[in-house]
Amino acid sequence: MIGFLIRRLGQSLLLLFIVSMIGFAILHLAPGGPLSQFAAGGDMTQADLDRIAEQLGLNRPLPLQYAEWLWRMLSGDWGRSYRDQQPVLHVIASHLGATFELMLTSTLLAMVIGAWVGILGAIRRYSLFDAFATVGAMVALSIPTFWFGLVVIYVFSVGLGWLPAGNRYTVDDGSLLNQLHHLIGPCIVLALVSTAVWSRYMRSSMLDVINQDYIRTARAKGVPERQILLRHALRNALLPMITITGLQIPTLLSGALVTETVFTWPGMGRLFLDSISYRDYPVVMGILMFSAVLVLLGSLIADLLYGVADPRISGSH
Amino acid sequence: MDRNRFGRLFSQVGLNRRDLFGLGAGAVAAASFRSGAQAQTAGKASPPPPAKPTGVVVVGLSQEPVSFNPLMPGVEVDEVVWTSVFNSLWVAEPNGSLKPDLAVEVPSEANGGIAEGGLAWTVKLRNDVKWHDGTPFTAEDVKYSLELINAAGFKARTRVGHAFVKDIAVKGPHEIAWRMEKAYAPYLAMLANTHIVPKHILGKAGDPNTAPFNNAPVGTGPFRWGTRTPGDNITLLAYEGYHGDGPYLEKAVLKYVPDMTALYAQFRTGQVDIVIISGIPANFYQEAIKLPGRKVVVAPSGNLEIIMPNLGNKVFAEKAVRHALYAAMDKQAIIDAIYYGVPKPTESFAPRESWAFNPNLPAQKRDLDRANKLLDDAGWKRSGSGTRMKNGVPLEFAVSTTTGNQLREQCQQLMQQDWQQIGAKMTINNMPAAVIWGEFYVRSKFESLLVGTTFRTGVDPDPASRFASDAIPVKGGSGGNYMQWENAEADALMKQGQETFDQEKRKAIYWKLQEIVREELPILPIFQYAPIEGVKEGLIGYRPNINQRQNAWNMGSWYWAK
Amino acid sequence: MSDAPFTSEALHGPAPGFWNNPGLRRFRRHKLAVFGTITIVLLTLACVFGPMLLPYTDTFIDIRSRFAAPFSGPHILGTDPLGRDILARLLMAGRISLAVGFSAMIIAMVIGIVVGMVAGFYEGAVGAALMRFVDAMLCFPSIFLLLAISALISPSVPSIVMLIAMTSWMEVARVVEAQIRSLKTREFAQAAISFGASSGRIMLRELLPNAVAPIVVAATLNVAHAILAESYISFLGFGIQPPTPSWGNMLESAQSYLTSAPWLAIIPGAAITLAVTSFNFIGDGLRDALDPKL
Repeated sequence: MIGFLIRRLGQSLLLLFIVSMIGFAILHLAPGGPLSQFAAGGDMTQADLDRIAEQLGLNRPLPLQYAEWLWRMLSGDWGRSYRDQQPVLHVIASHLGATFELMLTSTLLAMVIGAWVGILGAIRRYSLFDAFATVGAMVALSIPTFWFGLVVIYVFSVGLGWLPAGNRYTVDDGSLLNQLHHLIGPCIVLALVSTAVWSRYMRSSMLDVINQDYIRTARAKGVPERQILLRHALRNALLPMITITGLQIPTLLSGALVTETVFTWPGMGRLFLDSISYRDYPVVMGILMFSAVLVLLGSLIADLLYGVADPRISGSH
Repeated sequence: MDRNRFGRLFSQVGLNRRDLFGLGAGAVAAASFRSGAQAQTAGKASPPPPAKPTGVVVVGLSQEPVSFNPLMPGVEVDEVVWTSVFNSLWVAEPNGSLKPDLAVEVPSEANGGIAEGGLAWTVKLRNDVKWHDGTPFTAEDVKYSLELINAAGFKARTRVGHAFVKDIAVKGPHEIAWRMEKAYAPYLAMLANTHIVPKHILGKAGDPNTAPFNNAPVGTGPFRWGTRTPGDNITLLAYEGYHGDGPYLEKAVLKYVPDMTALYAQFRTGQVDIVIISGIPANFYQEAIKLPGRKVVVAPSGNLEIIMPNLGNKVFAEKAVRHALYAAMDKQAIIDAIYYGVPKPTESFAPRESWAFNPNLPAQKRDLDRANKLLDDAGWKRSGSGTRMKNGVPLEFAVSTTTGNQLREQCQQLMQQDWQQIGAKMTINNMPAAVIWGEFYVRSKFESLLVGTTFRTGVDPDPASRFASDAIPVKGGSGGNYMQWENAEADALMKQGQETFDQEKRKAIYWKLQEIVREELPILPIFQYAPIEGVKEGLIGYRPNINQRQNAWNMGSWYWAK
Repeated sequence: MSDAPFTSEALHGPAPGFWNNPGLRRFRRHKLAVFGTITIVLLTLACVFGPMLLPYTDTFIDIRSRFAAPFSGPHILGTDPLGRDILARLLMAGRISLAVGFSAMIIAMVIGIVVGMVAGFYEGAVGAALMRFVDAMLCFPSIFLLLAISALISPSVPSIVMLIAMTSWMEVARVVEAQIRSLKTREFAQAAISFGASSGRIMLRELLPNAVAPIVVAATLNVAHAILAESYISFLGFGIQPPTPSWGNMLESAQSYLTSAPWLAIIPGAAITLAVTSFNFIGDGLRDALDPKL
């Protein structure tokens, strides 16, 4: 177990190193730079732009810039944003809350609905409900998230006027109710895909369990069906779902980025988009590393939990 | 709030003093300045402002203000914070005149503030100004600010004009003097947009580039720094010890709504009180003017929408081609159909509100026959594919603009169809903002651009940094002549314009320059920008100002009618 | 994978009656897969031949008849802000989007198969290095990768195809690697190795054909993914350039007309959803048909 953990951690660090290198190279080799936004305005001369590029150290050789970035990173300094001069970790932290709020609520929603649909689909296999759930899940996986978001805004905000068209809260109204009201739209949109994923996995996991010997034995013994499902089947069927949650993190991050854009949600996704369009290199790198850590951590925890829950797994990996 | 409000009102009305440098604009500009918002201040009487700061205004912005040190690089939205939290020595008014702010008067040769033909400057400062933390404002702060701009290692926004300043001397707590290395008329205009920062705070920071001050600025302006929720909003609070007009609002919230459509939606529902800078997309104009309780204003802007050809390109190097393309362009369709008739076509590089604007330039008329003849005469022969050729070079080029700008993309597609009819093959090659305005732009790597930009120096009509042949970066210059235009006659005129102080004489120079530019077409002007801004009814004091980079420049004097 | 549906003999030998193939029978029983196949065939036919039957071309600008609503006049699906026929644009866009989907899939499959095969066959240092690279690429949430790279390239059709392929081959590589690794230990592979066949021959002639089932499934899902990815890239402003229409850039340019002309957004969005759903149905059906164990 300990050996496995150490090996996995070592692998993860190696991965982070590769990720940082790829990310850094892509970012800095891309045309354009952090000064473009000022050149567009026309009130700063070329001499000004050249001077600032020099001051930011953008003219130095790329490997040198990377080495310096890595060295600082290792010593805990993530750099400062080119835009507001704040430390990168501070910038990320100030956007994290909004994204976590969105991810957490939508994951909970997806879990509850997805599990329910999946279980019901498994119990009533090949029923009309199961057929609808299957088709529904496939369609949900196929809808472009941003388009679904636009449709939700068009129907519920523009048409019916039930939901606000964006933002996290109304200015000068920080009440919980107000925040929840704003959360509904983006939460539904972000939960759509995860619900579909959850229901599919839950269904197949449940089917696996239902066909196991001990369930059949329990049935033969005359244990009430309800008790069989809740006591035995569900508990075992939920086990593999732990893994899914961990592995869903990258999908959720991508989904959050798009959803935040559509609903003008002030979270990490917006921050990333803004930072990349202004070429705020330190912040983009920071977010990349942060999400990579999150992804690795997600899969590591998934593996560990799965290993703890099912001792047969841990050694074999 | 210890000053007499009526006195302030008078000083505001009587401020049309014109400085001798002729930088300010006065009569010409005022006469041609027509705007819905102007009527508000000039026309019907507004209710008086409240005695004590009350109410909140929510200003909707489609970009996020992030740069709060006014001497460091920033864009228009950042200036909303700068003009509210800080002051400059004087400010440019809508009519182009300069109004003293931290200074007692705008220096001129008449009042002795500028002497030795523009080489010696003396500025007297107000003695009743306090920083937000209560510390008195003195000449030391001005000296510190001007020195900081030129300090090595400081990421100053621009050193244009400032680089000529030397021997700054504090002559008293409220008087400062300096010398210029050369007479440079536009420096007055530069100072109108140079905000003064506090020496007693920033001067103590180890590195002014990363000082805590940069995220909690302390100024002398009508609003002091409140809170910032990154990615969402900034709250500014009334500074009751303000030396000037106002503030009348208790709080100003700068709300960041990243999408212009969403921003308009929030303006419509009333979540946002005023939409400035990027404004309301033109396709909502018709709908917006009918909104109850909302006032929609077509604000004047010094920006021009142009096709910027790269004259280093074989096709565009030929004047006949530029004239043919210009003649084949359906400007009216672009303006009417895509921009809903809001902006006005223009032939000049100067905004029509400027005193230097030449209204007598020949008007572009769509004339395909003329365009075809121009190309025929110049030896561009139609080939089998329909695209003209000359000496093996096809009449083919790309027009680039920023991706995601839907109106510009529509505009490109209209032009594409127009130009196809005269045998010119245009392709579209759009890029994200960070890419297009990078090397592609400043190293003149584009074939042509569809771009909105200005050709002046601050408030001053001097376009030398955009048109002079020593301003071509790709040829070692340091300006913004990215189309690589070289014209000896124009160079001479611009040099003359910079060294001449008499406005009438300068006007003659710039009229001639505009004729040359219209004849040579180093840029194909389409229209002068007319951003559509929206204000909730009852908000008094909003005055669009073509001489500022954004129209919250006077937020201190805004208030809600009861 | 002890009982893979196809052995190399079955593939190379005479087919035992195409329509009676048990896999195909299972596929035909999968109603959704059949629906998906029919939809894709119809959609492809419409996109290929449809534009020829229409009175308007996709780029004909008629500014006077802009914003015509669907089913209200000569333009069946209405017109866009420049007065262009939406049906004509939708079908031309379909050509582009489907072509982008298929080409991106093929490139992604080639990269994924080569990387997966080499990594699975050689294992050891080479395999580990390749798979760590795959893992690293998977660490980036796909949108982040798309966004970062799309800034690097000019947005033409081929470059968008490359971009999507570059960001979607990793899953394929993983699937193939796992397959090859397990197939390598089987008797027929071991026999080929002991006969001294070259590595390339073993990989291509012995191992790859036996891994074809999961590859086909992955390929189908990859097309679906690629069509979606094209729309995301367009939505974020890095997509295919006008006037060439694609479903993604039609949607992108419709955003600001959501209130005044909602059909501009609804029509291409529905087209994307239909196409992607169909490919997912087919993928699902293929999975059931080719490998009942999956």
